[in-house]
Parts: sequence; C-alpha cells; structure tokens
Amino acid sequence: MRAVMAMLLCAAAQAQVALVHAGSDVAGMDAARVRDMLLGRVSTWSDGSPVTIVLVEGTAADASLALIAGRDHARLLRGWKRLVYSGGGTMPMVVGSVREAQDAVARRPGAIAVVEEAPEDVRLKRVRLDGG
Amino acid sequence: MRIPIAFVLAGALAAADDPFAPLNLEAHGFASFGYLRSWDTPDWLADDSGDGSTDFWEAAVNATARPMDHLRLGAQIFARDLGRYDNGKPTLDWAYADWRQVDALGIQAGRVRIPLGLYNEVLDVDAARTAAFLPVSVYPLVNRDLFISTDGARVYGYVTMGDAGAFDYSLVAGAKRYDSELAVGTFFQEMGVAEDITEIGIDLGVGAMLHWYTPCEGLGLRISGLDGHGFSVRGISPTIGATAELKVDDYLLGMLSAIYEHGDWTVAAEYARYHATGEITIDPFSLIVPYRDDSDGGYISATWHARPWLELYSAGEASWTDAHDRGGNRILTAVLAVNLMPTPNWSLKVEGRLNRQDYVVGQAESWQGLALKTTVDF
Repeated sequence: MRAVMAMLLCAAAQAQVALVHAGSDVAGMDAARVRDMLLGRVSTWSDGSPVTIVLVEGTAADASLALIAGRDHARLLRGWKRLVYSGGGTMPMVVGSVREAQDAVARRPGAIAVVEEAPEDVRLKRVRLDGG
Repeated sequence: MRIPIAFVLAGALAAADDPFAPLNLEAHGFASFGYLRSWDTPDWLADDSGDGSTDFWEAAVNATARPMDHLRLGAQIFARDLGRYDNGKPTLDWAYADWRQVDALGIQAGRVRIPLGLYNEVLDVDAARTAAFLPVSVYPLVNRDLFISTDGARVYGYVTMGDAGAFDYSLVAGAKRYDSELAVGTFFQEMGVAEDITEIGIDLGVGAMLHWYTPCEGLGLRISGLDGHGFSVRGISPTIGATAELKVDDYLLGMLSAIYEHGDWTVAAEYARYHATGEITIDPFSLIVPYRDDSDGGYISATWHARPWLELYSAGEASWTDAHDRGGNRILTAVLAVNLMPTPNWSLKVEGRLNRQDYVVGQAESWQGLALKTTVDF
C-alpha cells in the first residue's frame, strides 16, 4: 500500500486517462462519473449498453485506480465480487498491460479502462480525468 | 424422412462459430470451509462446538447472461451447513430478469434480494467482508432466510444530485414461502413454536432503501425497512398431539446505517429494530399464546485494509431482546478478525468473539467463540 501511495503522489500531479470504446458516448464524462463506473454504481452507458470495466495489473495502474476510485486493484475487485454474487453485475476484465487494455477496450463495446498514460490509438476515445 | 428436431437444432448449433456468444454468459461461484470452537458454552451454532466442529461450510454457483442491451438474466444456487442449521440443503438464492433502462431506473422481477442495511444483499458473500461473520446483532446467522429475498419485483436506481451527492434507491415487493427444513425452520423450532415446523410464509413483503452518498467524500448514510405483512409459521408437536400456528399481521424491521471510507480504513455503524405482535394458536386445546418481538441491536466496526493481501477488523456488537428494557436480556460482543488473501481468489479468516449475556440484573454469563474460515472463488 505504501508503494501505491508513493505512486499516488506522483500520479496526482497529472491527469489520468480513461480509455473508452470508440462507440461509447463520452459527453459529460468526468472523474466522478468514471469513479461511479469503477465502483459499480453506474452500470450502463447513455445508450443502454452495459459498462465493462477493464482493470490493468501493476503498481502504476493501481495508483490511477486509487486516485479515481479511492481503492487499489485488489479492493476494487472484492467490491465487484459483492455485486457478482448478489446478482448486481458482472466481473471486470483483468489484463496485464496498458497495451492489452487498449486491445480489450477496442474489442468490446461499452468497455472502459483507467490508466496513467497510454499511446494514441485510433480505435479508442480518450478522456482526460482531473482526479478524484 | 422425418428428422428429429433435436438433430436439426444440434446441427444448427454445430454450424455456428459460438452460439452462446450473443448471450454474454458468465459463471461464478465460491466455496468456504470452516471450523467452529467455543469455550464456556458447549453448543455455539454447532452441537459439538465445545470440542471443535468442522460442521461449517457454504457454497454457491451462479450464472448470468446479457442477451441484449439493458437486460441481464441470472440465478444463483446456495447451500450452507452451519452446525445444526441448514445442513447443506441447496436453495435458490436469487433468480431474476433485470432491465436497467438508465442509471436512475432499473426493474428486476423474480426472486429478488431485499436491500436491508449495508450488507443484507451480500449476506453470503464472504469476499464482501473481512470477518467470518457479519455483525450478528444486526444480521442474525440463524434466521438469515427470513428477510434475505422475496418472490416479486424490485425497482431501483442511482441518481446524482450535483453538490448534494448521489442517491441509491430501491423499492421491493413480493411474497415468499420458506423451506421449513432450512435454518429459519430450525429457528422457530428452537423458539418453541412447535416440534416440527411445516410451513413458513409472508403474504406480502414491502421494503424500501435509500442510500445517500453525501458530499463528504467517503461518507454514506442509509435508511431501510421492510414490512412483512401476513407472516405465519405452522407446525406440529406429535408428542402432545397438537398443531401450532404463529400469526403476525405486520412483521416490521427498520435499519439505520452509516459507513465512512477513507484511505485504508472503513468504519461502519448500523442499528436494527424489529417490531411484531401476534399470537400462537395451539390446537386442539384452543390455547392462545401472545407473541411479541421488540428486539433491537447494533454495532460499530472498523476495518483496516493494511495491504492488498491483509485486512484487520474489530467490532463491538450489542443486542437486546426487548428494546424497552435495556437492563434485561442482552448480549454484548467484542470481535477481532484477520483476513489473509494469499491470492485474489483465496482468503483465510480468523475471527474471535468474546460474548457476555445478561439475562436479568445480576445474572450473566460469558463465552468465547473462534471461527476459522477459508474461501475460494472463481
């Protein structure tokens, strides 16, 4: 957790990025909206398609998550288990790198991932988030 | 030549790349095994807990499908063996169709969960908590079935209010017939309603929940309640040749909850209050015994998420048989628990419970309980 907090301090200096499937409507999307998605409070996009969370493993991604959702990767997944076993949602995807997250989001309508930084990708929309 | 329709369907399925892909199917489950040990009481949950009992496990498996936007279908089977309760009998935990039109409005129909307190909807989800048991003073272990779900419908949603924060709301209505072989039947048997419980039901349960995510970051406040209208329990007592029926017009339960999450800490406090008046009719003796439940209970807990693989938990719990008599029958409990998570899908829990029960002024006894529990999920 200390490592995450150290990363957090660095990450706080710059905005995080939400990678979103190109077909999703990102109008009005901000850090609070993305936090609600990560915590499972919001489960649909404005067109009704389901939100699919893509989580990236690793300390840098943990710091991005902590900044937006206030929880690290492990705690966030435990929160999602609450939803899954009570019938309230489906588990996030977990991938090993930002590149894999980009591929996963590009393939799935309604998918979203939060990362510190990612290279440009024409298959995706990028939304800069100002912090939690 | 007549070709059986099953072969036609099988052929069509075989020709498709992945006929189940449009359903977006997912399956998950968990299994827990545990150990109960008590001191200064021989039968805490299990008859042999004084010597140590392994009569403690639970398991669930669920499947969900998202065949189209807005719509989710799912069901979960759950089984539990908790000492002398439930004995591993599988039960349909939840099963419903869920149509989420927008964030602010969703509708579920089927066997739906009742949103009472912070944790009633996730009562069985071991991963949702640090301790082996939820606070018993608010979430009773034995009669868990009574208010966990109902067969009916639920309307729910999430509404953002700008600077005022956001709200989760839920309204639920339905009826339920209970399996009298499950823990709730044993509960009324132990209460002395009858030697064998044959039927338990609620004609109409109506519940509501409002959760406010306050502008104070991390602070949530919740109010929830349920009216179980037309509650009845029927049973027989062969040794005296009698039948018994407990009837309550309205079994009421109200809960107040607060949770504060800040950094690595979560602090929660809840209060639950029951109210019911009715009578037990014992035939053929035409004997009528009044029934009253004015119990209440609460707790305050703190959880430290020390590491991604380690959580520590402590709580103080209190419950009273009669909310109007604070000096009467009550149980005070101090709880300490540790949750180790060697992998994201495997947890090891140790929970110690120090209990003191006061029957009346001057009469008290203390006992201690230890629960070990390991859970794997997928």
